[in-house]
Amino acid sequence: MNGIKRIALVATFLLAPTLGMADNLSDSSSFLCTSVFASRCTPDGECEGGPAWNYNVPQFIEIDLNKKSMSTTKASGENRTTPIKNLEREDGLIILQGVQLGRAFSFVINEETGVASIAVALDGHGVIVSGACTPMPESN
Amino acid sequence: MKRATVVTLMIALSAASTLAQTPPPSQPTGKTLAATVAVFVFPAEGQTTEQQSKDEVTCYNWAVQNTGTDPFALAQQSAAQQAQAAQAKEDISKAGRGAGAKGALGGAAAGALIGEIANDDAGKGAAYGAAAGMIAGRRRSRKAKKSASAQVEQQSKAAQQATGQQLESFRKAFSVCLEAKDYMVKF
Repeated sequence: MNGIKRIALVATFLLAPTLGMADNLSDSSSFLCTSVFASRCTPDGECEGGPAWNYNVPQFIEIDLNKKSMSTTKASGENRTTPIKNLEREDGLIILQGVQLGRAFSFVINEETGVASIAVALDGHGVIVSGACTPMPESN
Repeated sequence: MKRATVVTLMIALSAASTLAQTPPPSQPTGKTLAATVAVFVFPAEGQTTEQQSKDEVTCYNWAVQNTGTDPFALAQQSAAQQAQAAQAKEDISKAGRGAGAKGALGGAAAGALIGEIANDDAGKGAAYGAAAGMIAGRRRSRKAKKSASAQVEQQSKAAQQATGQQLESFRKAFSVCLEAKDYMVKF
């Protein structure tokens, strides 16, 4: 329990500066998201947390709603991409879902604040990532 | 009595361990047999040193027979257990080395964005993934080492406690025998 509290506290500190970066996404169809803090939990209730890249979550993710895909930035040199299977925009939220290599993921992004909550379910454990999104320059 | 006495006794026993081959030895250094097991004996009836030595040998054998504990053998056994525990700790320490690097390889990734998240089995990939794996590997390794070390420590303590109890029992029997022979005994 203490571990979870500590993780939440650290996440709050790490996430706070990025909230300022986030922006209104209501009129955007492509945006840049940054993942900040991640925690991984196993079924026995044990959780560990740390910087998102600790869990191989890219630091920056470009999301293109028109192409229904998300990918790493060119600058990262990682060349990773994932198709979005389900996309919904409702009640001020952008909800993205998909499946890749045995992982089911869900993104819930607040259009107004840009704050993103990401959950990735794997066989036997799950990863939760906190992040923030801002419109891509070309979409403004 | 307790730990300090047991430690003192073990030191005394270790010093005398070369005598363990032929039970129970005479005291070439002038130290009485009773003194080597931290038992203090006074000849209350004016027994000679030679008589006291003979009585101590007799009582030593009697105590060994009645308790099943031979302090000299126990000292050797205890030293062997301590060496074994030290070796086990060393092995645990060595086993942990390289676990971080192994974890780093496990954390490497490339290709799929979501599909590689928390991938501990990927064989190649970006520096981020490698760094992540290194950290996760070290964390797992530290946890396992801590647990194994605690287990060894616990076993070692239990063995020391058992040894202390056996020595206590031996000294009681040794003392009773000497008291029956009109000596004043303290331990």
